[in-house]
Amino acid sequence: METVLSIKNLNKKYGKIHAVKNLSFNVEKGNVFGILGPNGSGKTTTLSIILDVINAKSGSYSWFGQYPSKESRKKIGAILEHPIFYPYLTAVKNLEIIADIKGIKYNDIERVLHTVELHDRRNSKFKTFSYGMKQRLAIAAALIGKPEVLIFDEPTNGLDPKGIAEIRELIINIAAKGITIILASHLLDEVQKTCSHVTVLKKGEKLFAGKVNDVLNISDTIEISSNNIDMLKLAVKEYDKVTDIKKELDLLVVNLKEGTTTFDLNNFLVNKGIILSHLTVRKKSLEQQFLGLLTENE
Amino acid sequence: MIIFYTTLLAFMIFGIPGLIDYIAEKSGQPSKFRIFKAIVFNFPDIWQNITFVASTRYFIKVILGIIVIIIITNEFSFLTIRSNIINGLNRRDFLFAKIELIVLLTIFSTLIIFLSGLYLGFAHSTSKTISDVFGKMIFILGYFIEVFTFLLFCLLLGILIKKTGITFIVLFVYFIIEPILDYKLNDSITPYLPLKAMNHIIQTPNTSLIKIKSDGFNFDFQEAVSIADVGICLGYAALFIFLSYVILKKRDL
Ligand SMILES: Nc1ncnc2c1ncn2[C@@H]1O[C@H](COP(=O)(O)OP(=O)(O)O)[C@@H](O)[C@H]1O
Ligand SMILES: [Mg+2]
Repeated sequence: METVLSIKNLNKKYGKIHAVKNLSFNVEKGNVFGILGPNGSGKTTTLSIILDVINAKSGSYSWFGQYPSKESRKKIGAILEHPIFYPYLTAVKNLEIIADIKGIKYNDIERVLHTVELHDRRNSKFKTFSYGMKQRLAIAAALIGKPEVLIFDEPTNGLDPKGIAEIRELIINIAAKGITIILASHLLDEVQKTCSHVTVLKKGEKLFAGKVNDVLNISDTIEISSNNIDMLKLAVKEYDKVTDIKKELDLLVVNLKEGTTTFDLNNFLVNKGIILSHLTVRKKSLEQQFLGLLTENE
Repeated sequence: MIIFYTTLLAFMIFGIPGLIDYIAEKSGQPSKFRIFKAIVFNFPDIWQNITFVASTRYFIKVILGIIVIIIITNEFSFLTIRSNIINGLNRRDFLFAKIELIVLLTIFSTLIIFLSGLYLGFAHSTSKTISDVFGKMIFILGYFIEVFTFLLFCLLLGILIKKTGITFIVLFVYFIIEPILDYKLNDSITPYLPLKAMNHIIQTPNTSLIKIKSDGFNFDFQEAVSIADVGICLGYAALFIFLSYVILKKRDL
């Protein structure tokens, strides 16, 4: 696999606040990589460092396997915190400045304006935009020149439910094209709905990391077992309400679709002539940890 | 702002001959003032006179400085410097883009002075020989260097302070402080004070009028731009650029 971003032992201090603590992780090509953590956990600080906006105290990072440079940043489209544009210039003029910096032809501007549905307002000054429109323009700016990597920092912050749904859909559509996405959010639900991988931060430290399905699985995880485990596995595979099956020693660990219960699974297996010797619902430990972490900080 | 600057400059440059005419009428001794006018706008002295007026410390040069300060501090208050870096400039590119802008502003301002000089000279000068027209034109180059260095000074202040209003205050306070320092410090140091060094490139012109009035008074008036003055000024320009770069490089944006 191709590593897009590699972060090693990154540290950043603001006076006494240790905003990022010895943070390391890798983002592989095609990942939709979530950075999940409550407010103040160091998400924006981390993204600012890898975009060369702020200087780290120690540690290193590399983009596309190379020492970071302005050339690597030209292959990245990013939104940091709030939409940033020249307020007294129009949407188009602002995008032209960005296209100039990235060395991209102006005809791509039409495309990205259509993508975020701002084409009608392209000649309005940025300062006349509503917050939702500003956020969409920021996304348009990030999309200019079809970057290999997109970075979104709290992209749905401050939007109404319709705006949130639209932006999430946009992210999912972009991800479907195989573009690598790094998404920072304090919303568990947002990361679950959009990301393939996640790193959870608390007070600048990595708590845990992995695939979203493993780390933040919200659907029930069920342990089952019977006298013939291989036959059991074959039978369970035929059940269309199963999302994931893993074999652990003499157990099968099964995930079911939302709304499906252990009763349904058992019923299905009984109809197939299989009697279970073991059936329990696993504690959703990581999710609970995360929720605990969030409430603790609120 | 630039339009305001141009208008003000044009108004001054083209207003002065009119003003002199007006005073001449009122004073009842028009001939005396006609002589004055002919002297002030005489080639080649006009180059020194006009650049001197346009580059006076507390005068319209400041408007250019204000433009530069607004441009650079806006980058910090709108955070657009951040997005420039994120999108693929490095900090040196960013600084050079601003210096490029300063060069353009300086060229623009120098060009206006140059064209005004030509116009006023041809309209009012008694001598129009080639050698006189080009005579003290080196002052135009001196003007360019002086304004360029002054604007770099404003850029450095803006980068250092980031806030528009506070930068203005600091600039104006420094305008007051430097003359005080000038007065207090040893004469061997004072020529090296930045604003004084800049202003020293074009000194109070020795118009022939003053010369007439101070016949017995043997004072050395400036006849040409001195290389040493230009050297000190360019040294400051380099220092301002270097400091701006170091600050930008070290800072979290
Ligand atoms: N410029 C700054 N000066 C001082 N402290 C800061 C600054 N920026 C961020 N911090 C602190 O660093 C920590 C991490 O902030 P941040 O990265 O913005 O978190 P997040 O994006 O996860 O909400 C917070 O405690 C915040 O208060
Ligand atoms: Mg943040």
